[in-house]
Amino acid sequence: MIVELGHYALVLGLALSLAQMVVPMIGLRTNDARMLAVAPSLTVATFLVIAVSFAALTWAYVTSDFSVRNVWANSFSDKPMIFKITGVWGNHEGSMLLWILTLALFGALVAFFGGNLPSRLKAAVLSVQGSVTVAFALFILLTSNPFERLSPPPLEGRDLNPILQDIGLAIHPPLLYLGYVGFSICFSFAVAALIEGRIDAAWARWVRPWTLVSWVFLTAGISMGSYWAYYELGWGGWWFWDPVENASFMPWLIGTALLHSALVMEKREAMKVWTILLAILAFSFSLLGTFLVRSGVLTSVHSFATDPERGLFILMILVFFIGGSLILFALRAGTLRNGGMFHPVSREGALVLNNLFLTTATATVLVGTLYPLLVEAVSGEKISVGAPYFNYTFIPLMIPLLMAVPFGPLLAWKRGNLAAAAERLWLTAAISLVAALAIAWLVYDAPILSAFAYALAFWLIIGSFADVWQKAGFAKNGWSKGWARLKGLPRANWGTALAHAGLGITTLGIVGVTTLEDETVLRMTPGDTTSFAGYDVAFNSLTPGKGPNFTYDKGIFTISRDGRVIGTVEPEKRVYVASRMPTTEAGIQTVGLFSQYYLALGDAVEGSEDIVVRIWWKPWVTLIWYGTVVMVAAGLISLSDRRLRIGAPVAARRRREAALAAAKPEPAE
Amino acid sequence: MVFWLTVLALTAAAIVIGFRPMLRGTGSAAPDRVEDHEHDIAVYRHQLEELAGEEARGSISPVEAAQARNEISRRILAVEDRLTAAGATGFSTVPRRSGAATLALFALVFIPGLTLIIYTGIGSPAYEAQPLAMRLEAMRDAAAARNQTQDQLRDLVVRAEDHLRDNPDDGRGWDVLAPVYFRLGEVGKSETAYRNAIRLLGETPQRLSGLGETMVTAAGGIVTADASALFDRALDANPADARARFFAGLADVQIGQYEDARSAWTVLAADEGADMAWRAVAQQSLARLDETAPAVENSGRPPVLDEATIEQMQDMSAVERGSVIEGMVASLDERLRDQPNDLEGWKRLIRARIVLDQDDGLRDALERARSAYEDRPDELESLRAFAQGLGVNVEEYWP
Repeated sequence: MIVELGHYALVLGLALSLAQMVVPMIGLRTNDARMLAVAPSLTVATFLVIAVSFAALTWAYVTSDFSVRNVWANSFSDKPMIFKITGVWGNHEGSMLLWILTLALFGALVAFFGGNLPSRLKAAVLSVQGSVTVAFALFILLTSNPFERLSPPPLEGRDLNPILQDIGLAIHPPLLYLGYVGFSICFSFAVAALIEGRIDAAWARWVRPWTLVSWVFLTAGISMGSYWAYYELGWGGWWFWDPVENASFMPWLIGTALLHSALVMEKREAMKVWTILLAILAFSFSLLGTFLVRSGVLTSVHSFATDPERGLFILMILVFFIGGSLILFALRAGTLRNGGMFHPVSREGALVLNNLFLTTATATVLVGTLYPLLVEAVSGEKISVGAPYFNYTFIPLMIPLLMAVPFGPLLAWKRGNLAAAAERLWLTAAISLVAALAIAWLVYDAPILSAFAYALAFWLIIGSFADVWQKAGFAKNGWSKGWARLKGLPRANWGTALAHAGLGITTLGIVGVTTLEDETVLRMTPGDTTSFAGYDVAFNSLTPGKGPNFTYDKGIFTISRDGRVIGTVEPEKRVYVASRMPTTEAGIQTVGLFSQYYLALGDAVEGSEDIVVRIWWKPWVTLIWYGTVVMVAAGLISLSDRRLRIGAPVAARRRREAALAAAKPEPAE
Repeated sequence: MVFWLTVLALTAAAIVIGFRPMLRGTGSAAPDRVEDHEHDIAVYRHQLEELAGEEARGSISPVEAAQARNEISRRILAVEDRLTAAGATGFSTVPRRSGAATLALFALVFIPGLTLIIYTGIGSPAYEAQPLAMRLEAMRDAAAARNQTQDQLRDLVVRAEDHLRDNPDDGRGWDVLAPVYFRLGEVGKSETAYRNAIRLLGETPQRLSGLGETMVTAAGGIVTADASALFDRALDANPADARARFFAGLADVQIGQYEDARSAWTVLAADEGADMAWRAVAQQSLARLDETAPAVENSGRPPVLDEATIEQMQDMSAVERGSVIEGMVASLDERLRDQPNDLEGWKRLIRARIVLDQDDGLRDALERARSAYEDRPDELESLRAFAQGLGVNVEEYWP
């Protein structure tokens, strides 16, 4: 019964989201407050029934109900419980259900926390969000129904792709979806603003926390995905410029641009058209990513079962939402009045620069991702655009952007003083240079250019705090007063500083591992010892064994330096019973704080007891992910700032008179 | 019933939650525009507060602060202007009275109706969930129940045997006893009982295919030529006989006629009129065929036996195995006499004769194959190449 109840709830979710889309829209047309008022409650109801549906599918996975085709195709009775649960979204149908659950969740969050929104705008936002839910609910029911049944039920399932049987699957997709789909709310805000014809500073203020939430989750999701690929695929790489990675990276770049341009729109009512466009684009890139991954246009571990029919359906959704919103945008953009003016050298100017670089970078990634597809479509020739393309296009764009980052927060609004800002940063520049030279000296064979890259990373990390340092004014106010002022700063200021510093930390990790990494491939027999990158590696044993749903060969290696044992790693080669698919489990030993020693087992050498062992020395590699952790923390700190949690209307009403009194324009000075 | 009550409760709960503001019955139909403007002004008020904070901290200069304050104030004025303008141009538009009716239509008709229509179209409301643990338990229970029934059956059999000892020509007795023996796993006795029943009461499709089944079981799952003939006779008399249809399909599999087997089983599995048990067996066999057959067919080396059969044969003695294979080759040979137009079949036969080292059989097969393909040089050439590939000096046989 539970399975069919989940199926029914999914259909009910479609009907409710249709109501969520249509009813408030009628309310907006006929100016009927009752219809506007049901928008939030309908959204909550949609979310609840979709949650029931998701819970039912999860139950089917947990109890290994192979009468559900989706469970049979992706589960296995002996699979550990955690992977039975994560298996719910480790396949196409289930992940689409997670996708609409997230869509509905964001709608419900707006319904719940949107007390600060005018009722018309809120109803419009929820209506647009409802329309996205309708599209994807239809997609699921028509092409990818996870509740399809099998009769008679088979006795055993076909198991989940072994690569996905990892704790990473528990975390990476939900985080990524919260980010990906989170931009749907920004999209809904943008379309609602276009429908309502109210594109102003207040709108920017309302959309910012939602952008920030999505950005935080997307950052965490991409970072998690990168770390997962790093330790699971056994190739030692942390970013592959794989089309699927790019598909998640493009919304992130656009989302980052949106985060910054919304700031300008809120403060100065400038860049309005641009901000709306970015909000539409961010979600469009999320949809494009979904299309690329699920249509079978690309093949990768994310593709699951591909099906041209599904691809066509997503393409239709894509065309409808992107095309529709852009048409609406074109109709409305002409009616927008220009906002505040500003000098090129100013905070606004710096943010425009940020946006220019980020969108250009997105364009290069887009070209690099789509070009091979176009070539294949036109000439049938398979080409691959790999890391070199991105190294020559994306990275040169990032360098000036990263150099400019510390300047931004130091420039005043409207008209800034570049010289003054530069003056405040000379100490940062000096320290960065010294640090870079120190590294170049310690690692004498590092390339000259890498010294510049190190300087850039330190410049970012240290320069990010120039703004809060200056605001504390230790030199002027002395330590105790400066400290007090530092503590009194709005959390958003700390958020900015930390996010930029996090970017610097990630950059430092990337620079470190790119310039100092070392790799070797060798044949070893248990009992062998080798020396690599200054460490001794002893191959103690190679033992076969049996896990719950796989068999493995586990190697045990001891890593030591100058006779002192650093740690033991146990890389494995596994073969999964149901799918007969081999996978590798890398053995990773963190050395010091940030560096890692990475071992992966290759194939056995025929005719001998040797086995191929790959060893990587990855200096500072974990900084890449620690940096993103700092960025995520920074986003959360910003989110907790009271400025983003504007009071409810009741409070506003109470103080309205006072506000009006205080707001009389002062004579210009 | 419980399912539909739960569905009703879920739908009702969702609609109550979804249309909660209607139930409260408060609020006028006209939207409160003033309230909407409060939200805008709240934002700008906060901006002013922030500005005051920044000025107090000295983050911005008093001049900048004043300029910013002016900008924000202008925004507040703009909001106030919009409010007044809306008031002047009739923001108090009375909403249509049909609003409540529209909402009720959605809540009571549209949402439940649409859900019901779609769900009954694509769902399987009567199909219970099948958690594995529950199914395994049910299977254990069924096994226990089966043991119990078997004990009861044994008692019956003992009594029936007593009766037949006194009246050995009671055909009905044998007819009843034959399938019971089979269910108890007494295959030899079952075969005898079927033969007696046929001898005394005459052939029926039921008895023929039943006898065939005992022979197949006795041969370790191999459809021997004799058994195959029985199934053919059963099907001649009653083409709907599910048991005979299943075993005819199995015979096809064992001589590599996967497509014939597949179509026979597919029809059987989908045949609503056929016995459920045989439909289920056909379904399962189809699934297994899908897994094993293509790999075998694509290997380019058509085997005489399918893998499952080979597996079963590993339990047999060498003599048994030999006779089973002989039987199968004979039935393939027989089939090619009726349907000589089967290139793959000829290849299998030629291969089998070579493997079994039956020179006469090989000569016979090659000659018949040549006469079958005399007017088609391409096929003939393919056969020649095939045989040569197996080390046969074809010229010796095809002068």
